[in-house]
Amino acid sequence: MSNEEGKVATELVQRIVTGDKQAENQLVERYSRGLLFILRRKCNQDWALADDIAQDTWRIVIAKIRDKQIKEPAKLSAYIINTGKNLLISHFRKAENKSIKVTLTDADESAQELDSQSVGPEEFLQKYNLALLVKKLVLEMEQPRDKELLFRFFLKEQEKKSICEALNLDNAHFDRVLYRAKQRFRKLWESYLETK
Amino acid sequence: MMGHKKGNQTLREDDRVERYILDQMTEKEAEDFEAYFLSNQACLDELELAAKLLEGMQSLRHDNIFSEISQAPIKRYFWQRSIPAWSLAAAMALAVVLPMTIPDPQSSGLKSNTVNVFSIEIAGVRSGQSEIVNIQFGQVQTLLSFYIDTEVESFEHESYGFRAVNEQDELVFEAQNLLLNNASTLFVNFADVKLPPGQYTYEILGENKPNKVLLGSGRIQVKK
Repeated sequence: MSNEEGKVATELVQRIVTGDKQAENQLVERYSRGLLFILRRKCNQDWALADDIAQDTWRIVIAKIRDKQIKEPAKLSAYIINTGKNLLISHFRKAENKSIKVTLTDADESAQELDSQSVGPEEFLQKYNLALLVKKLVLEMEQPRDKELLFRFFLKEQEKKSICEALNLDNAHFDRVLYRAKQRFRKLWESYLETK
Repeated sequence: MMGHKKGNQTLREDDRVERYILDQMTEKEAEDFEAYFLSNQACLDELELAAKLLEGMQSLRHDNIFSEISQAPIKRYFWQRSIPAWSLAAAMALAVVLPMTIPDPQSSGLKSNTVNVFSIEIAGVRSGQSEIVNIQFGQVQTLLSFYIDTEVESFEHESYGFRAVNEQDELVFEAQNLLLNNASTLFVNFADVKLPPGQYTYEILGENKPNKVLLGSGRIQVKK
């Protein structure tokens, strides 16, 4: 964490302690996107669940700051993340216990939960279009070795070092291929979003 | 630690984004990185893009686009990776859904994210004839949605296939390796394929490679 981040966080905490409501909004605005990114990954892209957990996280974090219970304001980022993760773990534990105690009377509720987890046609289509875009990206690559690099990295999930060894590449070449692929994908993705 | 605020050159040299997305960091490294990017919008841009790229690449896992590439051995085994409790819980909570056959993007439309969905139920009737389904192909992409009753043992398969033939019994559309979502629904995406007006017969097949079993069939009336 940078010193600058520590300073901003400390200032925000101090302002919230003094009752500054605007600082509370700034806190949420500053960290919300990052928190949602982390939570969505951890709950397998269940956006609704991530939103709920994020809301609870802000409620707890702001209450703790108001009560002057944040010992190290400069490490506010870590505190927010840990709070969110703990809430998520707690949610999954409750869900796990609930599934063990399932009874006939719970059947309807469970069915509703299952339904909310199912992927609808819009999400299906977005995933499908994403796959098409990435396929286009791969087809555009001229060097078979560059394709193999992406294949090993993203599908086989091999580490950079072992890919470089296997394909006889240096780190710079690896970085170049990955960078170009990401830049091209960014263009394709942005142009797709514009059509939505 | 390298910063993202120095611009693209720094981002280019920083492999933490991919290592985080691919879960290649130790728990401590990941925690430090999360605290770092939590309020860093430039780094979040990179992370979100890399996550989308990973998702798209992984959906091509069974696509023939990589058939020319030697099947490289997987060097990292699952027991060498730490699997946090939340990951297991999340894995139980969601099923992966995507068709395995992605057409050539040069000929496929990506013009719209709007979709027409036609729902068809073939539950409970083995090889039975369903009612005729009226379809109109418009400017948006068209999906057929089939409910497959997996409570019926003979309806449960590794994957599913769909084929449509015209009145001259010519194959006009085929999709293979389709997977059910966790609501037992199968989506068949016509993408930018627009069948000409007329009547077609479709078949839903259960696939247990190399065998295929006919689960149901019916008729589609494509209107102008």
